[in-house]
Amino acid sequence: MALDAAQLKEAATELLLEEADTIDQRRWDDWLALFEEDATYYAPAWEGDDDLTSDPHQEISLIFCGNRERMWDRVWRIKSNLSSSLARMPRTCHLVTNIRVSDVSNSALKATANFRTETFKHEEKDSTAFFGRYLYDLKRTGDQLTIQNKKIIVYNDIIPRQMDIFNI
Amino acid sequence: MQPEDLNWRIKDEPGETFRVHRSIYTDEEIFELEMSHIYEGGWIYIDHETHLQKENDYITTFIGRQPVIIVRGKGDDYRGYINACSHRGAKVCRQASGNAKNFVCPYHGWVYNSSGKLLDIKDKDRGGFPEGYLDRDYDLVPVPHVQAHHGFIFASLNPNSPPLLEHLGESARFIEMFANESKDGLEVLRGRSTYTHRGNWKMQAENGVDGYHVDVVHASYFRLAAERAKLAAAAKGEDGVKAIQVNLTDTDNGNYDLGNGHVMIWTDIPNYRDRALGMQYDTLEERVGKLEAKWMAGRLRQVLIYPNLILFDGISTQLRSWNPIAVDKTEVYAVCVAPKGEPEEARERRIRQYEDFYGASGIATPDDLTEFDACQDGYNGRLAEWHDFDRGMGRLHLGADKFAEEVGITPVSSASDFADEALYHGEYRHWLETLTKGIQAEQETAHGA
Ligand code: FES
Ligand SMILES: [Fe+2]
Repeated sequence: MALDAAQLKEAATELLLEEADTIDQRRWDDWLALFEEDATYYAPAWEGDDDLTSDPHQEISLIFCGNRERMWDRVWRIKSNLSSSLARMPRTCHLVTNIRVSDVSNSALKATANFRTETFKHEEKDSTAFFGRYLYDLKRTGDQLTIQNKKIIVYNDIIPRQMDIFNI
Repeated sequence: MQPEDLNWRIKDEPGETFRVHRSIYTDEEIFELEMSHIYEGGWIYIDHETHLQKENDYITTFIGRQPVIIVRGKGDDYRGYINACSHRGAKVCRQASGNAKNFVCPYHGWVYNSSGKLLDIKDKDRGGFPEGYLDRDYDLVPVPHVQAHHGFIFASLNPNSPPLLEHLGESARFIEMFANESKDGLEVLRGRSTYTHRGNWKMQAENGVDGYHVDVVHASYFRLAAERAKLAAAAKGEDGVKAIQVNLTDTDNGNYDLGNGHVMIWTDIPNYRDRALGMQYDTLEERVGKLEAKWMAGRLRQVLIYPNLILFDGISTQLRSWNPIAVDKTEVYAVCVAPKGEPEEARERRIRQYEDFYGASGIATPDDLTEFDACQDGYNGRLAEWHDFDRGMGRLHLGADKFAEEVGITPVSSASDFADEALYHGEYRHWLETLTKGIQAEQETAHGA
């Protein structure tokens, strides 16, 4: 039997929170598995106070992965032990709230949420945070939900040293 | 601080050694001198004309610590003002950018035109001013020099600065070369990145022309690129990025001290046809000729325009500038710059290669920033006082080598290795000279007064 509206929202919420957990718990392969192979992962850059870029093919993004392979690149690097910026992998904590679901069809739905990610950097004995908004296109396959697109709008975009898939 | 308090910190013994005392990265007093005499005492890079296209377009920014408004006038005419109201000092303009004929100070409503002239004092008639008040000069204080060269806007707060082209010297050749990559010039792409790091600004200036760190610091980047290409080949698919390779053993490469603190490194790129400009190599060559095409598309160039701009043209194309915030904090502004009117496919290639490497959200830049911070921490080890820039000293050649002659520049010195560190001599000789002259000028003013 198909999920009703409340169950669907519950399933979407569960997916978003699971995604946050996979990152904070460094279950990178589980994280990738939540996304479709042709999923996009997109953190647009800002051009002005209220001017957010919107075309990753003509404009510079903070991060743009046009498919899951480009997301895998980032995971590969984290696992590689070759990057000094990741030599002491920061501890992160994602707070994902204000989750809402819309545009439900038989095959897809949209979800939005607010986030705040705390990053504790060992070298600096200090933490910094990014905050902003997530916009998801989710795909429905039976009762199963997967991520087709994820857009991350970072509101505080002056970056202290590093921004990557683990701290936004 | 006296010149002799500074001199000993640079040990310049040609042919023997060139050492810098690490206090130059940590001393607050030296930082103050740098702000006064380098950032507020000479030409610095402001922005690219992409952000100031029409008459009365303006941006607000800083020259050193001083807030300024930079305005475009007619044509290539630029001017600037200290962004402080003549009345009681409030910042007259609060926006980051815009277009305005007049600026109205939000505090008590004084009005200035875009030439900085005071047009109106609110309730002037009820002012009860002393006699002669209204004859005084209450215009905004102008920035003495604002000038663009091929779309690159520079400014100086020092009325006695030499002409811009004299300051740019031999580095102008590479600004012009970059700008000529399209017959219509360059444009900065939308999408900016600002980042900070806990290190002194001079490491930012050093690192962009540091060929020695590349394979170590960016090991994860280059290994990933190789892995990606391998996987794509095995799947008979396309490598989506086609990252640019750096290979110093089978290529021509080298470095130049261009004078006035400007220095650069260059190397031939094995897979230059994977670059955005390389994808149009043949048409480019037709337009600009063999030599120019080789330098533009086939050769990575990273040019430090002292003190606060690096032109990156290799891995992708970036304009990176910065402003020192404190002796151990620097704010960096990074944008992608591209030839106007390039084909869609090339533009996409450029963008993907850019994001892959550059910016604090890229795969490579955070590793550089990590090293600056680690150096800053290391410099606090006061017992470890010195480091040298002797690598490459043995092959340093005064004047032009054959590549410099070909491209038509006369550098102070040339050397045949991308990974040399002797090019920093030029940077630090200029640094010492600028600060010394600055201190002397301060003393003359003090005695004159
Ligand atoms: S400070 Fe500008 S009008 Fe008073
Ligand atoms: Fe680097």
